[in-house]
Amino acid sequence: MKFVLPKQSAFTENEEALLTMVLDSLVGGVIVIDDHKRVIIWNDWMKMSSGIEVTQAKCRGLFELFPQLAGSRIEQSVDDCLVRGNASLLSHALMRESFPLVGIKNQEPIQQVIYIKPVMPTGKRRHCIVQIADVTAAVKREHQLRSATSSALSAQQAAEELAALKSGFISVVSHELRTPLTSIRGSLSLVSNGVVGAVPKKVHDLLQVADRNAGRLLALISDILDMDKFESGKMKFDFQRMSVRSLLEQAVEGNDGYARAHCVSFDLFPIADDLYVSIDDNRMLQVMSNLMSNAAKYEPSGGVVELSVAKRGKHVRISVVDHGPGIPEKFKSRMFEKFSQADTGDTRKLGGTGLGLVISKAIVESHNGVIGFYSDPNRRTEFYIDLPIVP
Amino acid sequence: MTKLNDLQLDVLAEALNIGMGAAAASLSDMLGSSVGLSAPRIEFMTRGEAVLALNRTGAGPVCGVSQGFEGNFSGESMLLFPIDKSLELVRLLMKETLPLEGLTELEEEALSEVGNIILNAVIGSLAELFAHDIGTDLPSFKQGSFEDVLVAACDHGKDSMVLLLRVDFNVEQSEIDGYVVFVLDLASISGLANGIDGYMRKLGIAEV
Repeated sequence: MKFVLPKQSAFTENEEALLTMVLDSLVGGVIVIDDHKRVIIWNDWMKMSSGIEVTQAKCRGLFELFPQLAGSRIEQSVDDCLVRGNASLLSHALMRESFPLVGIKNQEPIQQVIYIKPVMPTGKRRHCIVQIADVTAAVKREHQLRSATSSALSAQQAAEELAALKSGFISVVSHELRTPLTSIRGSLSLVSNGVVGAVPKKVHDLLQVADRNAGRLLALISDILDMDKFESGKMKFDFQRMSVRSLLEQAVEGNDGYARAHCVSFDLFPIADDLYVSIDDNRMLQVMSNLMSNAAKYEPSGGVVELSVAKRGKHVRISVVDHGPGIPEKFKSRMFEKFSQADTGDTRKLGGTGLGLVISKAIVESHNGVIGFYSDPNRRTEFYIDLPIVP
Repeated sequence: MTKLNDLQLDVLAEALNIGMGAAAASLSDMLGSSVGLSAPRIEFMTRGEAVLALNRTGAGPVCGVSQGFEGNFSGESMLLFPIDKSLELVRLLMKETLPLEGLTELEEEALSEVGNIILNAVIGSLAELFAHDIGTDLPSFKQGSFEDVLVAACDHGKDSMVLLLRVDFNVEQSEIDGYVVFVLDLASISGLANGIDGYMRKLGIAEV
């Protein structure tokens, strides 16, 4: 690069050579033009990116070298710089015209950001520095980021549509199954109870099996609908202040028949009168029913399932304890996962949808509560829920 | 002199709005769509008062562009927007429909260019009307609370005063509120006042 300085330069020859080396070592274009827009400085980067030698550029008008930029925002900014002393930034995003430059390595057109700054040499009229930065890599990165974001948004949209479709399908299928199943159970009950005539014992036993399994199917459908409501955020709660004692008394009353069918009983320990919680009683009774029916199923025949309440700081703990086989160590971490049951053989024998604890956890957590358990196999298994006490 | 009188403020507001008009014309031409710009209110206050006034708007963190200017009066000029508004403005100007979480490097640069055009036009208009010679620096992108941004711009001395303008942007049928702020030291306020007085004399307007 040949560095042309104005007459009466303040630089010595050595300083001029050093300055030339510095400008040539810069990664980016540097052009300095005088008040007539003639090129004074043209660094190596400009030479390599434009293919215009410094000897061709020097003393030529910048917009003679690039006539396609005459009248462009670049020229307007140069004029503003020379006349008023204003500096300008011309961003890539808003740039309509740019210098026809190519990458030094790949000879591909480059994306640019242009900085135009005034400079006032001693004893001279205002000059202008035009700096050009290659932002091709940044533009490519941003383009990739937008593509990735666009793909992620499309995938998310597709997933949401699929989830909505699944939810709608579950809802329709479940309702379509529930209606005929209810009718089947009603008919089985009528036949089994001899309403349409005496039924031989063997037939009666088979009808009982059919009724139990129809009941299990109905419970499963009901749980699937509940899960769907939770997952789609459509589960609604009607919170009311209620005494813990009243909640547990209702729970015992509602599950007593189930316990008797399994030849066990519930023992409700004394509860203080002044303990209140804010709950949706139907939903919380559903949780209690799930915990109590599980305990009744696993409690050895003739045994007693214990229900107790303890105040723990700002929470009340409701515990349901059985003395059955308990929960194997390796299964404990999966207790609240969908369709997880400790022993599938046992489950089939004892019933259960595999969704009860998942739903219970969702309900308790919607009450700002916690559900958990301790299990010492064949001795004592305690499921508990902690709920915030309200005045 | 630490303050401008009401008449001087009126004349200054007029000059600033001429600059806003020029900036709007430049932006409209550049973007190929209609851009409206106006500064309906102008206030002159201390830096502390400006921080309080801006915080009262409830705008939260802001981002924008800052650039120095130097001449018969010198200081720092800024164009500031609440962060969400700056995202909206840049994407309207860039005609970008895909939202990303924050401003990208290239979007920051685009906002800097918009700020540069507006601030250059406004300062250019003051220089022209008040027959001053004022040059500007390159813009730099700023982000933070109003206080952070104003404190960073107040290297011009503790006695700096702030000229605060609320700016209404109208782009593609969207209205976006921003602020133009000038931080000036006492000597610059005198320089500005002298320029305004000279302009008023030229127009035959009586000084108060």
